[in-house]
Amino acid sequence: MLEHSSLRLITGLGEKGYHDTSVVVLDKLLKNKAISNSFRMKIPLLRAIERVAGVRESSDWVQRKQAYEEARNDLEHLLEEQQEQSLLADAAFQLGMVFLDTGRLYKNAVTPEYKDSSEAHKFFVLAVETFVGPRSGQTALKAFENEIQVVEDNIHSYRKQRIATSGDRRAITQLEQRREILRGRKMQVQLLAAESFSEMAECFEQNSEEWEQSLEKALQRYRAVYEATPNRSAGIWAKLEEGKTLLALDRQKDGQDVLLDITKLASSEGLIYQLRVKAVDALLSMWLGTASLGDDKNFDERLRQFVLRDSTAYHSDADALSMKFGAAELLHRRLEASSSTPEATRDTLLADIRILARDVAKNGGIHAVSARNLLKKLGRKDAAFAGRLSQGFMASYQHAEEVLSQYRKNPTESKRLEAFVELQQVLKIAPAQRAEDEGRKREQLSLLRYQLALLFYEDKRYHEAIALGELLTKDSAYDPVRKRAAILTLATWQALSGQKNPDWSDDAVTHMGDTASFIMRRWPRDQCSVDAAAVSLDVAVRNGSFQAIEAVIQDLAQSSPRRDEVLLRAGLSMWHLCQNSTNGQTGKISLPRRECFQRAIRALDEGLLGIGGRSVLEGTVLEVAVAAAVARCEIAVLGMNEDSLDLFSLLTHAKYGPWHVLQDSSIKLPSQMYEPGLRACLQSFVKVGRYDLARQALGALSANVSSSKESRLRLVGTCVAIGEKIINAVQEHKQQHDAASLQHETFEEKAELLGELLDLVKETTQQIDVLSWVALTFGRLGVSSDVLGPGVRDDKQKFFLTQSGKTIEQILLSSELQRDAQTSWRRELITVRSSLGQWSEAVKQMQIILSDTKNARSPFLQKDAADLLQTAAKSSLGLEQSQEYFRAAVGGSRVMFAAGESVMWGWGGLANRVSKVAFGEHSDRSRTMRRMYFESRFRLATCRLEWAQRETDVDTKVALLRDAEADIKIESQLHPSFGGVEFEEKFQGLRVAIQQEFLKISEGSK
Amino acid sequence: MTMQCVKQEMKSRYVFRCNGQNIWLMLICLGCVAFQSMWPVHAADQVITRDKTLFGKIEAVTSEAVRLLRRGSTADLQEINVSDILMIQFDEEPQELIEAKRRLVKKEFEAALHAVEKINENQIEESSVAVRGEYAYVQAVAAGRIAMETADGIPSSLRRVEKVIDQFTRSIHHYELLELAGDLEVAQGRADKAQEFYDKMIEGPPLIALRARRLSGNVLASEDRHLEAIRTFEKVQSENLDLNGVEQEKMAACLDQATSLIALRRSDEAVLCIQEMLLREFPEEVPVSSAEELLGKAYSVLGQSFIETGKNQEALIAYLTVDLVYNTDPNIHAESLLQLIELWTRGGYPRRAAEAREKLVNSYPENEAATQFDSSPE
Repeated sequence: MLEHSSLRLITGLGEKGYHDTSVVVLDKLLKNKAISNSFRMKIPLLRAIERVAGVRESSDWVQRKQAYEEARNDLEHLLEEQQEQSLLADAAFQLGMVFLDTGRLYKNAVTPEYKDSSEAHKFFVLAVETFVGPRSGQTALKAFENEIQVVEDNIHSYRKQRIATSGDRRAITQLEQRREILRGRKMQVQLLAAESFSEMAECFEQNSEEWEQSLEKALQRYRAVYEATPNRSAGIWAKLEEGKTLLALDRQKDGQDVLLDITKLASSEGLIYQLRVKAVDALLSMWLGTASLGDDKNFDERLRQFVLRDSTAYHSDADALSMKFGAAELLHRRLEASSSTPEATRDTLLADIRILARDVAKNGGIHAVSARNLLKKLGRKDAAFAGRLSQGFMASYQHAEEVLSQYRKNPTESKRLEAFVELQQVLKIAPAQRAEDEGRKREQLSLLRYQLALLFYEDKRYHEAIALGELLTKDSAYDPVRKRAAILTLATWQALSGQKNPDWSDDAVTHMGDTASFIMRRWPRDQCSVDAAAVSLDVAVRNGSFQAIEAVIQDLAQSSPRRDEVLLRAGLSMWHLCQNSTNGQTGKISLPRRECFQRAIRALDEGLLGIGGRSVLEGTVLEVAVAAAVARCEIAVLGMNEDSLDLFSLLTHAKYGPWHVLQDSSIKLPSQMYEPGLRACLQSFVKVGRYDLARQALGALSANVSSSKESRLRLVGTCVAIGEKIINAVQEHKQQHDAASLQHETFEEKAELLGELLDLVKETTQQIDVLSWVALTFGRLGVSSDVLGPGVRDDKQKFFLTQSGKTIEQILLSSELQRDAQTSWRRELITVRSSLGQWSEAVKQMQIILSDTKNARSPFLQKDAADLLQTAAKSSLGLEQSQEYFRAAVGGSRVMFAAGESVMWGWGGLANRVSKVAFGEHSDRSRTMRRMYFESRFRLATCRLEWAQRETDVDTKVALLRDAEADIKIESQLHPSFGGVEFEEKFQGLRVAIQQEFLKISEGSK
Repeated sequence: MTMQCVKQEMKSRYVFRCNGQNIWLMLICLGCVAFQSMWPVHAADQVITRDKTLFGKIEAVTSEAVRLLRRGSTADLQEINVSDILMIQFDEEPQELIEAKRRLVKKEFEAALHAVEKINENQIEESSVAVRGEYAYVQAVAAGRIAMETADGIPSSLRRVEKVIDQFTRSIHHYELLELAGDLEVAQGRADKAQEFYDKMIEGPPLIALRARRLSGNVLASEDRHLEAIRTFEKVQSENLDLNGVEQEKMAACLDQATSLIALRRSDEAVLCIQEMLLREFPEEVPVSSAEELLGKAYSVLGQSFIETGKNQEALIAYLTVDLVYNTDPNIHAESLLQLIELWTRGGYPRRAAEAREKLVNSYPENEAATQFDSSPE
C-alpha cells in the first residue's frame, strides 16, 4: 500500500512540476526499510527521471549539465546491476534520452563557451547506441524486444491452458495491453534513434560528408519505421521525417512525392491532420526556395483549400501558422507574376492571400511580423489592419479605454456602437500583440471583456452579456474582474427574469438564484454578497419558498459584516410570505403559520439588534432597517408573537424607530415607505395606549396618503379597523367593569382619536356603508346613554352629534340610496337633530318623510311624528313655536313640498284612523292598532294637559284642560275598560293631573 | 426490443455487410437482445452485496440477516449477513426511495434527502412495513448525517433516529441506526448516552460488535480519557476474526489510536502506528472508495503527527499525499491544503503555497478555512 501510494504521489507531483519534491520523496523511500526490494530497485530510475524533468526547462546550462551527468551515473549503474526486463528497458530508454538531451544541450547552447559540436556529436552517438545499438551493454530496443518476448511467452502459456478462468482471461487482456505499449515504445526508440542521427547532422558543416552520412542514416531508420508500421501514427511520422530529410538532402523530387502522399491522407483532425500540416509546411518551404514558378505547380487547388481551411482547434498551432504564411507568400509570388492573368483570378488570389496573412498576423507567432509586412503590400485597408496589429497591446488597450471613456461621458447610440466596434477589434487582435507584462495583459483583457459584457447589457443584448459574464465569472484569474462579471451576470439574469415567456423567465430566475448563491459563497464578506443575498431573497419570495429564504441566511457567513442587513431583508421576506399565506400554511413548505411568524420575528430581532449597533444608518441600510422595524411593529400589532417586545421603544428607536425616522424631515426615505410606516405607527401607538401619539400619527398618515384610490381605500380600512378595535375594547371593558370605573381621562383621549378617525374617513370616502358606520359611531359618541357616550364632554358630544348629522346628510345626498333607506336615515337624522334640540330641523325631516304617500299612510310613522311634535313642543324655548307644535301634535298639520303634500295626523287623527282596524276583527294587527288607539287617545289628552301647562293665558289653559278632561270622559264612555288595566291606570293618573292643574288655576286666581 | 436496440442492430448489420469486420457491433446487439429476454428479472426483490446483486423474494428480515429465496430456486433460503449487505431493494419500492438509498450508500446525504422528499407519503403509507421501514431509515440517516456535518438540528435528528429504532425493531439497519444515534449523542457531548447506544451494538454480529468497541474507544477519547481509549483500540486491533470488514475496522482503530496518541503528545508512537498500518495491504473486499477515504485520513493523521514532532518535510509529504492521491473526503482534503499552505510557506515556496491556497479557495469556497483567504493572486 505504501509503494502504491508513493507511486501515485510521484505521478501527481510530476504533473504539478514539483520534481524536486519527488526527488525528496524518493530519497526518503530509499531509506525506508519497509519497502520491497523490487520497489527499491525502481527508485534510481524514478529519481533520474525526476531529476532530468526538474531541469529540462531551466536556463542554467551548468545546472542542466550536472543533472544530466548525475542521471547518467544513476542509470548506468542501474543497467549494470539490473536484471529485471521491464526496469532494464525503462532505464535504457531514459539513459538514451539523457544522452540525447545532453547532445542538444551542447548543440543548442547560446553561449559560445558551452557550444561544442564535437561534444554534441559524441552524445548523439551515445544516444543512438543506447537506443538501438550497437552497444556492449543493454540497448533500449533490445530490452523492449526482450520484454515483448517475455510478455508473449506469458500470453502463450495462458493460451495453452485448456480451461481458462476469468482470472486467466483478465491476465491475458492485461498482457496484450502491455504488449501493445511495449511495441509502441519499441517504435519510439527507433524514431528517437533516427532523430538523433538527424540532429547529429547539424553538428557538421552542411553538405559535408559527415552531414550527408548522418542524414542518410536518419533516412534509413525513418524508412524502416514506416515500413514496419505504415498504418500507425509512428509510421506516418517517420514518413514525414523521411520526406523532410530527403528535401534536406536536396532530393526534392523524392521528398516532394513522399510529403505529397502524406497530404493526401484522409483526416481532418488529430495527429494525422497535424502531420498533414507539417508535410504541407515542409513542401511550401521547399517551393518558396525554388527559383522557377513552375516548381510549385503541385500546390494545386486541393492544397490551396487545405491551407485556407479554418480549423479552430489548430488556430494558433505553430505548424499551421507557418503553413499558412508559407502559402500566403507563395500565392503572393504567383500574384506578382500574373499581370497578364484575368482580373477575376487575381482577385481570388488576393482574397486568399489576405485571409491567410491576416490569420497569421492576428494569431501571433514567429511569422506575425512577416505577415504584417505582406499585408502592407496588399492595399490600404490591409496596411491599416497591419498597422493596428503592429501596435503594442498597451496602445490598443489605452485606445479602447479612451473610446469607452468618451462613451461614458457622452452615452449616445453612435458612441456606444463605436465602443462596441473598437472593443471587439482590440479583443480580436490582442493575442497577436506584444506586451511587456503578459500577466498584466491578461488582466487588462479580462477587464475589456467585462466592459464589452457591460455594453451588451446596456444595449439589452442580455444573452450575449450573460455568455461573456459567465465566462469571466468562471475563468478569469483576476478576482476583481471575476466579481464584477458575476454581479453583471446576476443583473442580466434579473433583467431576463422579466421575459414574457414564462418558461424562459422561470429559467432566468433559477439562474439568478444560482449566481447569487455563487457570489455569496465566493465573496462572503463583500458588499456584493449582501446584494446577492437580496436578490436571492427576491427569488425566494417570488417562488414563495420560505425554505429558500432560510437557506439564504444559512449561506451567508456568520462573520459577514452586513449579515444584520441580510437578516432584516430575510425577515421582511418571511413576513411578506406570512402575510400572503393561506390555510394556515406558508409558502411552498408545510410550516404552521405561527411558526413562520416566529422565524420572521427571530430574523428581524437579530437583524435589528445587529444593525442597531452600527454607528450611522443611512441610505438603503436605513430604509431596510426602518422597513424591518415597521414589519416587526405590524407583527406585534397582530398579536402573533408572545414575546415581550417593547413596542414603544421600537417605534421611537433613535436609529431606526419608524416614528422617529418618519417624523424627521431631514431624512428622505422613498415615498412609498411613509404610508405603511405611519400606519404601523398609528396601530402600534393604539396598541400601547398612547392615543396622543396615535392622533399625531393619524395626522401624519392622512397628510402622506396619496390621492390614488388604492391608498385612500387602505387609509379608510385602517381607520375603520382601528376604530372598531377601540370600540370593541371599550365595550369589553364595560362588560368586565363597572362603567364608573372607566378612567375618564383615558376615554377622553380614545374619544378624541375615534372622532378624528371618523372625520378622516368621512372626508376620504363616499362609500355608503363606511359613511353609515361613521354616522352611527359619531351618533353613539354624542349620546350619553350609549356605551361610548359616558366620559365624553358635553361640548364634544354636541360636536359628535353635529358630525353625525352632517354625515347623514352626506349619505342622503347619495343617489344610490333606496327610498326605505332614505326614510331610515332621515329618522336617524331626526334623532340626532332632536338630541341637539334642533326641533325645526327635526320636524322638517319628519315632514319630508311623510311627504311620501306611502310613509304618510303608516300609523307608526304618524305616531313618531306626533311624538316628535309633542316633544318639540315641550322642549321649544319660544311659546309661539311651542303652541304651533302642540297644535300640530293634537290635530295634525299639512305642508306642501315640491315632491307633494306632507300630512301629519296628530294624536287625534291617529286615533281616528286606527280605530276601525283596532276594534274590527280580532287579529294581531287589530291588537297592535288597539294599543296604538289607546296610546293616541292617552297622548292626545296628555298633550292638551302639557299645552295647558305651557300656556300663560288662563282662559286658554282652562279650555285646554277641559278638552283633555273631555277626551278622557269620552273614552270612558266609549271604552269603559280603557282597553286594559295599563291604560286605565294611565288615564286615571292623567285625570288626577288635570284636576290638580285646575286646582292650581283656581288657587292662582284667588 | 427497444428502439435503440433496433437501431443498433440495423447499424451493425449495415456495417457488417460493408466491411465484414465490425462484428463487435453485432455482438453488442445480440447482447442487447439477450438482455431483453432477461427483462422480468427486474420485477423482484434485490439484495446488493459488495460484489454481487442477488434477485429473488426477500422472505424475512432481521437486524442481523436477510433471508432470500433466490430467483429460480424453490426451496432453500439463502441467508445474507447484514455486514455483507450494501443495500436491499423491495420490488414494490418507489423509484425515488431506491435512488435515495443509492445516494446514502455513496454518502451523498443531501441528495438522499432530496430524493426521499419527492416520494408521495400516501404511497408509502399504503406500502408494506418493510418499505415503510426503509423510508423512515433513509429519512433518519440522511437527516442525522447532515445534522452531524452541519452541527445543526442534532437533537431533533436524534429523536427521529430513536423513533425509527423503536418503530422498526427488525430492520437490517438497526445497528447502523444505533451507531448513528451514538454518534449524534457524542456530537452533543453526551458520552454516557452515546455509550448506551454503542453497548447495544455489541449484542450484534461479531463485526458490528467489534465496531461498537472501537466506537466506545472514541467515546472515551471524546472525554479525554485517551489512555483507556488507546487500550480499547489496541484490543480491537488484536482481535482475531476471519470476517470481511474486520481488517478495515482494525485500520480505523489504528487511526483512532494514533489520534489519541497525538493528544497525549506521543506523536512518535502515532507515526509508528500509522506507518505500520500503511505497510499492510488492504483486503480485496474493501471498496476502493472506503480504502481511499481511510488512507486519506491515515496520511492526514500522519501529517499531524509529523507536525507535532517538528518534522515538517515529512508532514509536507504526508499532506501532499492527501492532496494529490487520497482527496475524496472534502474535510480532510481541505485541512491538508490548509496545512500545505503553511508548510510550503515555511519551506520558502511562496508560489506553491499560493497554488495550494487557490486550490483550497476554488475547491472548497464554503470551507471556513478557505474564507480566511483572499483568493486574488499574489
